[in-house]
Amino acid sequence: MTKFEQLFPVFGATFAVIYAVVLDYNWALVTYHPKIGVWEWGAAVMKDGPPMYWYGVVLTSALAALVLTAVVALIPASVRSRASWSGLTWLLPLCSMVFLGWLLSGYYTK
Amino acid sequence: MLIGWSILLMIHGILAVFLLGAITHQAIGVSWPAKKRAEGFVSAVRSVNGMTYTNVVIILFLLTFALGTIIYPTYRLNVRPVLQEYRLFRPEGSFELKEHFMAISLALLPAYWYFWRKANESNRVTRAVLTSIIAFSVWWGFITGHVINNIRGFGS
Repeated sequence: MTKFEQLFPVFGATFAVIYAVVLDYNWALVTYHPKIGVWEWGAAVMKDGPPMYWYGVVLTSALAALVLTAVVALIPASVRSRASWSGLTWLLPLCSMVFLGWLLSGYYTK
Repeated sequence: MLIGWSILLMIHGILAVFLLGAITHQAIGVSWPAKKRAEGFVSAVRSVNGMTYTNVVIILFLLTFALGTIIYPTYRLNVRPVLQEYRLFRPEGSFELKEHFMAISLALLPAYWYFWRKANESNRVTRAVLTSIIAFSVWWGFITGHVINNIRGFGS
C-alpha cells in the first residue's frame, strides 16, 4: 500500500464531517440555476427558478477534505497511525448521516 | 425533450438495480459470512467472495451517480415543485437525504476500495460497516427514486 492509498480512509472520514457542516451553513462553492442554465460562484440567491446548491456543497466539502487529508499526510506516520482510521472511517460518516437525518427531520414532522 | 430525460432516468434506474444486487450481495457476505459452504440460496449468498465485487460496485456507483447528477436539474424544475405544491414533504425530504447519503458514499469509495484490497480478518468489521453504509445509501436512493418516479415520472 502506498502512502497515498493509506490516506483514503482519512479523506472519507473528513469529507463526511465537513459535508454536514457545509450543508448546515450552506457554504456552497458554486450555485447552479437550472432554469436559465447559469453557474455562479458561492451560494447565490434565487434568480429565475430554484437555485441548486448541492453541486457547490459537494465541491466545497471535497476541496476542504482534500486540504485536511493533505495536512494529515504531513504528520509522521508513527503519530498518524495512533488514530484508529479503520474505526473513524465508518464511525464519522455514520454520525454525519444521523445528523443529516436530524437536520432534515422537519420534512417528516410537517 | 422530456422523453430524452426519461430514457436517461431509466438507464439510471437499471444501473441502480445492478448496483443494488452487487452491493447487497457483498454486504451480506462480509457481515454474515458462512463458515462452511452448504447447499441452498442463503448459504450461497453468504459464501460469496466479496473482493470480486469491489471494482464492479465502484464502477456501477460512479456511472449511476454521474447519471443522477445529470438528470438532477430536471427533478428540481419539474418534479420538486409538484411535491411542494401537493405538500408531499416526506418524499421530498427523502430525496434530500438521498442526495446527501450518495455524496457521503461517493467520498467513502476510495476507503471502501482500500479496505477491500487488503481484506483480512482484522479489518472485517470496517469492511462490513463501510459496505453496509454504502448498501443502505443505495437502497435508500433506489426506493426514494422509485417512489418519486411513481408520483411524477419525467414522462408524465
